[in-house]
Amino acid sequence: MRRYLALTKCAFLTGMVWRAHFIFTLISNLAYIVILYFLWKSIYGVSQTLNGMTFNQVFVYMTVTSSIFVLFKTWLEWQVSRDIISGAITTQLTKPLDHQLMVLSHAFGRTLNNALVITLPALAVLFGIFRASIPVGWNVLFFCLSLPLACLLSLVIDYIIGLTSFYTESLWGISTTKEIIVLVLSGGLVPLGFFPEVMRNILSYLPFQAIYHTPASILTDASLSLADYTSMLGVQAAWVIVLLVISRLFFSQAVKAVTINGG
Amino acid sequence: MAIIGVKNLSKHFKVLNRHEGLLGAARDLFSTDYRLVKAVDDISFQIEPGEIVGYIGPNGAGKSTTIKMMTGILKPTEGKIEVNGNVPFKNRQKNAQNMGVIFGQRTQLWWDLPVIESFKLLKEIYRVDQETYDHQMGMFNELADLKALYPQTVRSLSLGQRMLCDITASFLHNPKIVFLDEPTIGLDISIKARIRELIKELNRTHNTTIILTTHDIGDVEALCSRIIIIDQGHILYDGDIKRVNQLFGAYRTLRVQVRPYKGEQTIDQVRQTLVERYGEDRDFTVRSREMGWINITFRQDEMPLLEVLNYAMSRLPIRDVQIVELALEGVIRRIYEGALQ
Amino acid sequence: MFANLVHYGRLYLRLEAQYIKARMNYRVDFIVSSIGMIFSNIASLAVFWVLFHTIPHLAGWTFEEILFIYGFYLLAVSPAQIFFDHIWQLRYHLMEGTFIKYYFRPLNMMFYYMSEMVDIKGFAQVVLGGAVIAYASTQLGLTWTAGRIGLMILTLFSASLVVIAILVIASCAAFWTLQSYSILALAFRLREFAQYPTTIFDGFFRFLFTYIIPIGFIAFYPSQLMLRPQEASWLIYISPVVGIALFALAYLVWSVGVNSYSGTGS
Ligand SMILES: Nc1ncnc2c1ncn2[C@@H]1O[C@H](COP(=O)(O)OP(=O)(O)O)[C@@H](O)[C@H]1O
Ligand SMILES: [Mg+2]
Repeated sequence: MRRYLALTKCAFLTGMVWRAHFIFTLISNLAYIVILYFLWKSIYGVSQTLNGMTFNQVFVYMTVTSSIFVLFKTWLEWQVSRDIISGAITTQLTKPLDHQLMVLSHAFGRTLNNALVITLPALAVLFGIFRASIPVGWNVLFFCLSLPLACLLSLVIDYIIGLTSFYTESLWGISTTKEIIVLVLSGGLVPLGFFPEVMRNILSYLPFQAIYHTPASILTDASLSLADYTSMLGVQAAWVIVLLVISRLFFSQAVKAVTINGG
Repeated sequence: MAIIGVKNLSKHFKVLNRHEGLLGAARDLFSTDYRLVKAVDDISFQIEPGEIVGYIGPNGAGKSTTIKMMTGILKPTEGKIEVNGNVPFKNRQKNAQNMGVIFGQRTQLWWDLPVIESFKLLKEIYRVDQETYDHQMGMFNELADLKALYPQTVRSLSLGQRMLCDITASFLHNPKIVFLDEPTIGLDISIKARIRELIKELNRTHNTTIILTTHDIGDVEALCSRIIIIDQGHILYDGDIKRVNQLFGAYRTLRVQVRPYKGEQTIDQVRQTLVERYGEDRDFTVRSREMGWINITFRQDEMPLLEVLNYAMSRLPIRDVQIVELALEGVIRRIYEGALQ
Repeated sequence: MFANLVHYGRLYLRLEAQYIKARMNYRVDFIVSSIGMIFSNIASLAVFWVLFHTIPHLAGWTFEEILFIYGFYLLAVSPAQIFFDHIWQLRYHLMEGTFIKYYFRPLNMMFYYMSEMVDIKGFAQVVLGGAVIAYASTQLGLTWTAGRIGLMILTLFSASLVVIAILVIASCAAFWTLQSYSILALAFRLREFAQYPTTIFDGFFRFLFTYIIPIGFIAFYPSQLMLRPQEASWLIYISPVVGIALFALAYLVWSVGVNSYSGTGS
């Protein structure tokens, strides 16, 4: 466990070294909040609620999802892909470290760094400058529980995407496609509440909504009960497990295929 | 008429001092703690057309920085340069037309293209006419036998093959001056010999001026009649190679790490130990240039390397050893001590 | 001068032809990347579609009008994407020291650097943008008179220059910080603001996006001129000046960067 912790710490430190990076990422994300504010302000116009959500709710929802998006951006799939293309992954197999665990702990370090640089300042602006408000109660606690699950889910999906490099080198295309699909289908660009009924039903059977929609709606929707919270977390956890299993199967399958073909 | 004139040239870099650890990283965010590195410090020389000059010195001496200034990449902090009648930094493009450059192991050919396509593109870029192109390509073929490599992509070449292609490519447009920055670094002996041969021939056929940096004395011995030695930004020696020749090769340097390390006291301890074995009058020096590491420089013919190593290991608490590739440092030390004056 | 232009033109075609030939070895990559790019554009369209499910107009603009702006935006960002794609690699070249080779040729450095890459999939974006504009203008009953086509070409030209300039200036940060990804990301984000009507912003930000970082000129102001000329401000008529001035500024920043870049020690 300590070895993995060391990796986490190392990634965190590397992130801190780049000061210009720090400042500009901050500005970039604040700028995004600004556009969200104005965009949704003009969408609401004079209406009080749209699709059952107030402007304030939507604004918090969108800020949370977009902050989560940057928070979970760890370039993990690129690291996996590099390891595969350079062949480092095959030498990894001979070491007493689990590749997936190693990559995930490294990525987790980056999210901590992201949290410091992105999420906390974004929240400060949200509540400080824009005077947004959320209902405070059990939802905050469940939000804090749901966030790591969402993170894990997102990282595992990235890991699976990275593994496609066993078969093709065109990670850029695959990764962009994944990113945009996940964003749209999980409420990253428009709250899922704005989608037509039919689509919302379909989306509830997919893992994507557990990444952005679940934490964001736990935080903003005051009408949810404790039972709702637990079932939402349950769904998240279930998806994490399912995808973890899939990624492991995929990994061993891919390694087998590659070693047979002589890589 | 000199083709290159350098006068009181200096280049200083400002470098941020980084701190260690978590707090240090946080501090660096707002740090204004800079340190000045004098990469090149007040150097002057002149080079005549057709010369092959060896520009030598240990790592970090300032060789590449000087070349970058002569090729117009870096603006000098102070001083004057004239290359071929141009001020390189001001007339980069014009200067480039009469110049060829090789920088270390970085190829300037197109990574994904077959070698021959790179040559064709260069022909286009430098506006080389067909006749000159055919003539040059014919000559390269005779000298280096590259034809077999033409259909391969640059990516797929070995380091040595790539360097051969890179060097010939830098001569394609028949430049007046070619700068070669460490063209033999990381290559094995046989390919080194081929490259030296190629450079020599290319210099002879068109009387091209060549500035060659290296820290391999072998390159210099094979190619240059004149050398300029630089260390820590200063020129230590500029002149005939023969006068320094006897010093080359004779000296070796052993780097040892002694624990516990107590500064002067440890250095003295090492010196005493060696004096015990070899006596006071032997020609060797013991110094420390870096915390914890001690350099022992001695004449190989008087004190065989392995013997010194074994003896030191048996008498001193040595944690780690390195054998320094060449005795350049020893030579430079001797120059500091006035051996050449 | 003219001979020089011909030389550069020929050279450009030669370099790009070689590049494309080399890329053809990665055909799958090309196809997958094109799909990815088209997907992201379709996603943006889908977002508008979902939104207009709920609201009748956005800041007074109808769905079709917003589509028109988006199509214009796609066309305006395409030249930057197609011909200046190598700019994304700048920071790697600077970090790894491989940028040094661009100094050694008797060519304009920006030209030489950009000519080493062309993003073919950007052409797919041009087609998509054209299709969106065609659809929107049919729905809106817009007639394409010669005057309007001329206006479209002129405004597109200046809009493209604005996009290129913003991208180049942001990338040039790499000359000084070597860690410019975040700045580039910021520019990329700002660029995305261009697909919305600049009028959704109030006071300060509208000023900012009109005069300081003129992303309003990328799609909104030109579209306004096409769709509602009576509402268009006089500003749009100086858009070619804005485009050229901004590009000149970008070229200046690039030149200063190139000159001050001190290379990683080798
Ligand atoms: N861009 C730079 N920024 C800061 N210091 C540099 C830079 N380039 C070189 N240096 C420093 O200048 C000195 C000389 O470097 P260089 O000319 O590359 O040496 P050489 O080529 O002789 O090995 C070294 O101490 C190096 O660390
Ligand atoms: Mg060097």
